[in-house]
Amino acid sequence: MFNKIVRIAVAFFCTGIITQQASAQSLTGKVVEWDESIKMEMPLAGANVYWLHTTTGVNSDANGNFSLPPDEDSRQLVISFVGYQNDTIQIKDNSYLKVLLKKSVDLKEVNVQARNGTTSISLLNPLNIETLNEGEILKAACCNLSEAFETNPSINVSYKDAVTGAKEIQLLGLSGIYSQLLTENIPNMRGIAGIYGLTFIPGPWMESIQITKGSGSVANGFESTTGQINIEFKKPEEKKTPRFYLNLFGEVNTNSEINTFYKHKFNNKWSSILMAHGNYMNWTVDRNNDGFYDIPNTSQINLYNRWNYHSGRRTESQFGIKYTLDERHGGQIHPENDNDPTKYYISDITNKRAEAFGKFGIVFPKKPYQSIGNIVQVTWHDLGSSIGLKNYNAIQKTDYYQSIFQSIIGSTSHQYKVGIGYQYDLLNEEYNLMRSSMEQQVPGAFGEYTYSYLEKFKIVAGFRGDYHNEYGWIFTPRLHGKFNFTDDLILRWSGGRSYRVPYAIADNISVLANSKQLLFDEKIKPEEAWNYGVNLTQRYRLAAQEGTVSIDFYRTDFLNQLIADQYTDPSIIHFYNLRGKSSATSFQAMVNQELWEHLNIRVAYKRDDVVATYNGIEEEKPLVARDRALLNIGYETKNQHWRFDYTVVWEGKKRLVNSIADDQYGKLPDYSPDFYFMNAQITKVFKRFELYGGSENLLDFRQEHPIINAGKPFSNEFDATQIWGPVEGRRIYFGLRFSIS
Amino acid sequence: MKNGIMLILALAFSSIGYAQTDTVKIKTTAICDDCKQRIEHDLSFEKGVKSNVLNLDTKEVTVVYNSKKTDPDKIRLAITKIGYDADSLKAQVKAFNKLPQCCRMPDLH
Repeated sequence: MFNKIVRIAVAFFCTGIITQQASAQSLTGKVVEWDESIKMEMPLAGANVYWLHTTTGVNSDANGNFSLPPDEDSRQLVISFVGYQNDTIQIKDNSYLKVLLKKSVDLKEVNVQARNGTTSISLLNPLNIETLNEGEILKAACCNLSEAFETNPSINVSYKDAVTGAKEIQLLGLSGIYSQLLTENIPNMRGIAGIYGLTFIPGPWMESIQITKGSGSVANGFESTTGQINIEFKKPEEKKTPRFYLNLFGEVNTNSEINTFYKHKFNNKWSSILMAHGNYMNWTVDRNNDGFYDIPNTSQINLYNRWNYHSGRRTESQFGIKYTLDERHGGQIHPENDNDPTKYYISDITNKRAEAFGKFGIVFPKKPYQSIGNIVQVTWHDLGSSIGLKNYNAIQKTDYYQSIFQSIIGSTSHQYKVGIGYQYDLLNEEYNLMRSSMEQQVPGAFGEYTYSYLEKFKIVAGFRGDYHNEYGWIFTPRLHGKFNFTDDLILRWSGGRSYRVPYAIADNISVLANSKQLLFDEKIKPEEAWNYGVNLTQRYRLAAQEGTVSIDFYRTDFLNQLIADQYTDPSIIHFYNLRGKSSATSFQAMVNQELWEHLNIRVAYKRDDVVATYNGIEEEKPLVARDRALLNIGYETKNQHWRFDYTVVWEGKKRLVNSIADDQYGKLPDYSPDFYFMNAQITKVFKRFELYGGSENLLDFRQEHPIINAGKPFSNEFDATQIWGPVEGRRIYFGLRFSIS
Repeated sequence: MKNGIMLILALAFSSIGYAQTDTVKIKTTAICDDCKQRIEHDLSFEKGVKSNVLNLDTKEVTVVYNSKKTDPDKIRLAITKIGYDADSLKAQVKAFNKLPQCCRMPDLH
């Protein structure tokens, strides 16, 4: 009897719940898109429909229909679908809803950007990407890519030695060779091109730069260890690219530059852009009176022509060619008519580079989540260098091919990419009459799966297998993901393995700037490393002003690394495979805050702990600053006629090693001093053009004696590689920008 | 020296004190972001215009100006010279023809 009552009660209770649910009606509706070709509305299957700030959501079914239980807290409904613009609707009652989604202009992921921000960190992307847009690139004197990071804390750029003018970037405490440089998602500037490559990308050609920290997507290959730096150039098909652009730049020390481009739209399908860059400097500057040029004289011609073909519906193609000629002359100052390399220590370097690329993409108008992309690139690079008595000449040819298919499984919650690729690399080197050749053929395939739960949670798992003609199978697993606690707070994580075949001399070009002999102790093996890290980014509002705080923590552990050991032996640089530990731990905290309208401030602190094992002894890596801090203030007047920008960087002490007897300046201290580096720029905007002027290294801080034993360049004690600070003093420049849109 | 600074300060403040700022809203025929940028940029160089913001939804540009130096009619005329209608004033044909394609679209939007 009792049982029966309970049963009835339960039954009543249940029906009660059911009816209650029915009375608090579910919201029903349909998601559609407008198909221009048939002039009809078509249902959209698999769209995300969810209440804003909640986890309550559904996907639309095959007919675009959805039914969603109501939410107590949220009355704002979000409808999103990859390839379409998100829509947020205020729901007043439960009447049937029809949502028409508009196609987004392009298929790139939507980035949420801080207002007026010239640097943005996405709050949706599972990868930790900082985007530097044109406004940020303009903040530097910015002759080229090597100067574009001056206002960014994540990347530091320094000279590799005091003779050649080669520059190196550092990301997460490690040399730029461990991050992958991409131009529009194509790996570029590999091997010998990487030595001077940062100066081959002129500033005004760039539209934006994306810095991805941590191991990136497997789609771009197995090489990136610490991250990726992707450059987007100005595009002919984009409206915001001016029709004509001219930039003139001059420095007080006679360095002058010209950058220009011209865009032409032939018809609705074809468009093209032609870009040109030239720079010339002929100025003998030796402020520390050591008989050496403080900076080498350089001249460069750089041409780039690219085309875009848009069929209108299904396909898009791009292709282009680029040519660079770069010459630099430095070393000991000598009479014009006497350039005997046995009498004077002279550095003469010539780079010639040609690139051609093609991209062909197919989209499916009925399936905006699906696409096929094909990429081909061929490059040729010829480097000739004679530095003192060391001669290094090399020619490198690279072919790169890749095809990617991207689609979904059932709904856009499950996306995947699969692809195949092939990389060919031929390097012919000659070092002081010793010749060597390295040929690499690497076919490979990869797959990447992305699971997303609404906009809240995303996990990306990628795996790649490549077969190297000399080293056999290379497997690259990568995993990254994100979790949005709120719309303004995101946690990202990444982990992955990377693999890299080193270019012994090109990777360590500064080994040419001293008198030591090079010795390969053993056969060099490929470099392998694990990188893992987390990022936490919070967007907030202080009164009416927006700000972001971003905290990074990354770690790289090498399983194998090529060690160029300059420190153990006073007369020989030993090359050998890592025996022991080599790792880099990097922490960074950054605050971007709009103080009041048009005044933005960025404060950042970075700490890099880098250790490597030299000859069995684990040591702090020399010439790496453990601590670094940056402050950037940007102000624009309300009418936008004036822009002011100021940056100060503090670089902490760096470890120095005495590896040679130094009779001119005495023993090096254990650590270099710390120093401040300051830049400022003012821009005046006129109706049709802009004028700007500024100064780099405003404090005129220099490393007084960057070259050890400069007076005896052919002695065993000569060394121009112990660089810890700026070698050139204050620079003052002026420029003009003119464009017709 | 000290007096000089005081004089400059006094002058600076007096000019702020006596500047007559007024605000006017003018309806334009702006269509896209390109139009917004063009109008805002060019208008900011007009004499007497202190600041201006265009709202693409309402197509209205809100102009803050110094009433001693300019007036709403002059600002409207300036907008027509950029190539857009300003309230009842029609765009100047020559300027309109120079606009990018998006800004010349017939009023479908």
